[in-house]
Amino acid sequence: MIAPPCRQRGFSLIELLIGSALGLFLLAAVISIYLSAKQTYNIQDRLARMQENARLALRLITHDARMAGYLGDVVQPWAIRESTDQPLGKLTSECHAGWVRSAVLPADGITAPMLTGTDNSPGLFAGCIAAGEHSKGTDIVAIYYTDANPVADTAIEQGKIYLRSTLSGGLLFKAGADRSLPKDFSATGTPHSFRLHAVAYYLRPWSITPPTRELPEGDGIPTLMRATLSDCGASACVKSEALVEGIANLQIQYGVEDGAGLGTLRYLNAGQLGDFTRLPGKSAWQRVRALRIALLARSLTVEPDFTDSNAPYTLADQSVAVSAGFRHLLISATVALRNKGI
Amino acid sequence: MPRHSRGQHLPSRRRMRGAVLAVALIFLIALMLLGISVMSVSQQELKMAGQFMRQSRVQTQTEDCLKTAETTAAAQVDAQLNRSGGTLPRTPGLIDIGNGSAAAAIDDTDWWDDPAHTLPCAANGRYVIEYLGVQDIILPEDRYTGRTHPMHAFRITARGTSGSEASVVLQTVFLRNRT
Repeated sequence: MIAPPCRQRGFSLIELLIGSALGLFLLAAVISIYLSAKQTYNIQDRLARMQENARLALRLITHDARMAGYLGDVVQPWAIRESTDQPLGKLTSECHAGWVRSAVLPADGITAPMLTGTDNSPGLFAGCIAAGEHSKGTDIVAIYYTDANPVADTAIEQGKIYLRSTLSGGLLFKAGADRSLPKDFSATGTPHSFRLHAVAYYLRPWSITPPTRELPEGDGIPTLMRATLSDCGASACVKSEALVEGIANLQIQYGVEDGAGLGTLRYLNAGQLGDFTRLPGKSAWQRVRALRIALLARSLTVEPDFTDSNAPYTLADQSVAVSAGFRHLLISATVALRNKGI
Repeated sequence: MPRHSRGQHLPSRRRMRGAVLAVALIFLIALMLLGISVMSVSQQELKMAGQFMRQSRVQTQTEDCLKTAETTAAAQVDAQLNRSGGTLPRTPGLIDIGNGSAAAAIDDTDWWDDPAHTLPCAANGRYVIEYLGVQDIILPEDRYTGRTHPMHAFRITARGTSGSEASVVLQTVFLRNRT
């Protein structure tokens, strides 16, 4: 009887040890490659999201800033009046008393601010932005403009504010229930109605989950918000909406035309421009010709062992400390306000 | 016997080589998947950055175009007004809306690219001047009396594009004294 010699021959102990050692070594290498690739992917993903958020936020603000002071067909702001037939009345919720009227109608008789703001605090906007809904140490900017395209006379909606205008003059009115046009429009030419927009950009310290007793900071994700002039049934009101999450700081500076020479701009903070509601008298707000916007975007999730070597960041003229464990991205833009050059 | 033994060994060796290949391929595929996902993220990021860059470039170019149009338009309009004694004949780049011509078709690419309607400026930019007729304008000093002055009104529209991806339209209105 011959035993089948080779089929039963197993590995020797040495072979097995070497084999499993090599196998483990290989596995360890693969796992470490996988882990580092995963980490890289996560960081890349976080950076991409942060960049996207920062760009979107900047784009939204710069788009509105470029439109600041656009008044439909009217080229002379001093030719704008409020309708007596269909006046704006009191808004059901306002950022401050007369927040549309005081910024859009030329209080000094020549130009209106069409742009207002506060420095690091809710200040004027306390009526529409509660203290807990405003991120401490961030600026607020409000921009006023009309739509680029006119609305057909038949498409006017109740509770919305419009500017009916020709090249010769404009009339600000609020559409009533019958959606009729104001009867006291007297300027010559063929008038068009443009919807008026008033938007205020600010930052809120939470995104979706508001602070509660158990969770005093909510979800803690700073978010870019926009308070918009909207319609609430019969009246106009202000509504807030969350736009972009992960925006940690917003600083705005205003390029004010120097009285001394044409074209020279001095960049100032909102606090240095004076109170635009205390007119008449030509305030610095009327001479704002450019806007410098600086945004600090923040990653949404914390990385405990990450330290930001670039901190503190300088936004406009302000040094900003950042929360530990988060990545940050600073972007800024300067926008020339073409419609405010009169 | 030796032949038999060799015959038993051969298939077993083949199996081993096959397993190594399969394992290597599995690792390779796993790494490839990782690589592809990282690449797709960075490619997306690249696309976003590219679009942002194109957008701001077109914005700047169109601003430049509008500036050029503003300076040339004033001269062109003055020359036309002097030549024709106050009326504006229809010429390329100058549309007389006051005489019933159709306004510029902002959304129509073919209309914009037609040299019969618009004039070139900057890179990929074109502009058009529309004559809005004589309008009653209130000057700042007459803001309380509401007294109006008849003036020629013109609207310049500049449009810049970067292929089909980004386009910017800017508009300005300027007035000329009626002499």
